[in-house]
Order: sequence, then C-alpha cells, then structure tokens
Amino acid sequence: MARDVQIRLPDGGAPQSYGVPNATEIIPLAINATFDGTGAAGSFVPTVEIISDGGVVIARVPCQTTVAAGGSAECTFAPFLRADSGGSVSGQQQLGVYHSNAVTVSGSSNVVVSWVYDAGDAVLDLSAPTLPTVTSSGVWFVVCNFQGSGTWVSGNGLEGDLSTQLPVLTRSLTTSLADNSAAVPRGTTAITAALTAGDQLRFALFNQTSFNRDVQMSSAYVMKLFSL
Amino acid sequence: MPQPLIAGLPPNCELSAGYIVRITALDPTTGLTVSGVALSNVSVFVTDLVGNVGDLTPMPLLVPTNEPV
Repeated sequence: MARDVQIRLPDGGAPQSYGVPNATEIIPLAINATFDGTGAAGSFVPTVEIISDGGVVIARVPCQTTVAAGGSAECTFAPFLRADSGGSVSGQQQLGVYHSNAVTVSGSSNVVVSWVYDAGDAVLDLSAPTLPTVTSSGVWFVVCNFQGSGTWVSGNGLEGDLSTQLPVLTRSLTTSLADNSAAVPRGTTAITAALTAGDQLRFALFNQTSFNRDVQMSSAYVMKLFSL
Repeated sequence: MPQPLIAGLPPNCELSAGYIVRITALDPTTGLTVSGVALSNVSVFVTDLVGNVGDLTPMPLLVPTNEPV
C-alpha cells in the first residue's frame, strides 16, 4: 500500500545518494538539504540528479542560483517549484482588486472605464487610469465583473470588453441582458495572457440600448499566476 | 544563515529498484562536482508505492497448513 515516508541521509560531503532498494518503487515529493560551502573549492549549484539502474543520469535538476564559495544554502527541490525571475516582483503570486466608478453612457455608445485601486497587491500602474499597465512580467489572469445601475428594461444589453493592448492583443467580450427578476444586466469577462511590464489593460462597457444608462465595472481581480 | 533556494523536480517520476537520487554540488561552468561542500539535514520525502522503504524485515510467509482452525 502506498504511503508517504521521509528518508534521512547522513551528513557528509557532497554528493550524498539514496539508492532505491529491491522490491521498492518511490515517487520523490520533496528533497531538502543544507549545503555548507565554507570549505568549497569554488562556487557551486545545488543539484539533484536522478540516475537510472543502468547508471545513466535521466534527470539533472539544478537550483537556479549559484552559491559563492564560502556561502551556504538550504535548497528545497519539489515539483512545480521555480525561483522568481527577479525584477520588482518579490512574490510568485499576486492579486490586486480594482473597480471603476459608475458612469452614464449614451445610447449605443461605449465608455472606457477608469480603474480605481481597492485592495491587495498594487499590481497595476494607474498613471493612465483608463489604460492601466502591469508592473511586472508574468502570466496574468484578469477577471472583470460589470453591471448596469439605475433603470434598465428587461432585455436591454450591456457588453463588457476586456482586452490587453499591443504588442499582444487578447480580448474577451461578454454581453449580458437585463432579465425579468433584476432588470439590471450583470456580467463577467476574463482573459489569461502573458504580459511584460508596461503592457496595458483596457476595459470598455458598451450600452446596447438607445438610451442613456449607468454602467460600472463593479470589481476586477488582477492576478499574476507566475513570473516570466 | 544559509540562503533559502528552491528548484523544480520532475513530477510523478516513479523510480524503481536500482535507481539513485543523488544530492550534489556542481560547478556552474564545468558541471563537475565541487569538492569541499558539506551536506547536512538531507531529507528525501517520497511516496513509497510498495511499502518497503525503511522496512528491513522480510514479509512473513503464509504457509498453507492442514491443521484444523
């Protein structure tokens, strides 16, 4: 029966090895070790190697950071771990919450909303509030909730248009119709995109009625999933 | 205080008998092992698919018998 176990290896000079015994199969989940380079002959990269029963290296997993001679490091090796690429971002995952104030849009017209920071990580530069820019490079997930306010008539439509701007254009359009129960259209639109620092976001609302209507980006969640 | 570092392992990598997990320190230029690096607190956390890791005693043999139960 499968079970999770911890194997401790003795202290000593690098390398240290664990050989899978007879009649055993394992899946490594996490490997951790302290590398003391006080007496190291030079700079080094903490590394895990997986070697087949035929003596062939089938995987070599180096840490992305080189430790200087005389330095020390505690390194954890585990699936899906990856060091941050640096820059102004210190963490892997970040989340910022934003909204726009309600504005009145003429019939059959659209408005590009101005983003307002609410909470969380300030992941957007709002120097140009209608075209906020991401402050770091990474893969981003952006979801915008929008709605009408005031008086709407059942069947009236409101379209949310979320996009990134050049050089990479990603766009998501959602049309929401006011229904009988609430008579106010509500919708959500989202994109996932690889963006570099300075790339712009844009969210527009299109009033599909022929009358003035109040609209709003009620909330926007801007998440950096991981750095690039 | 050693600097904390992380690195990715290949996920769901099943290793059978005879395979070796080696923790080492390599020269970033040559790829050769750097001498003089001391390892401590080495922990390898694994899923033991068979249940034999750390078990030094053989499984008990079940021998058929004619004795009445």
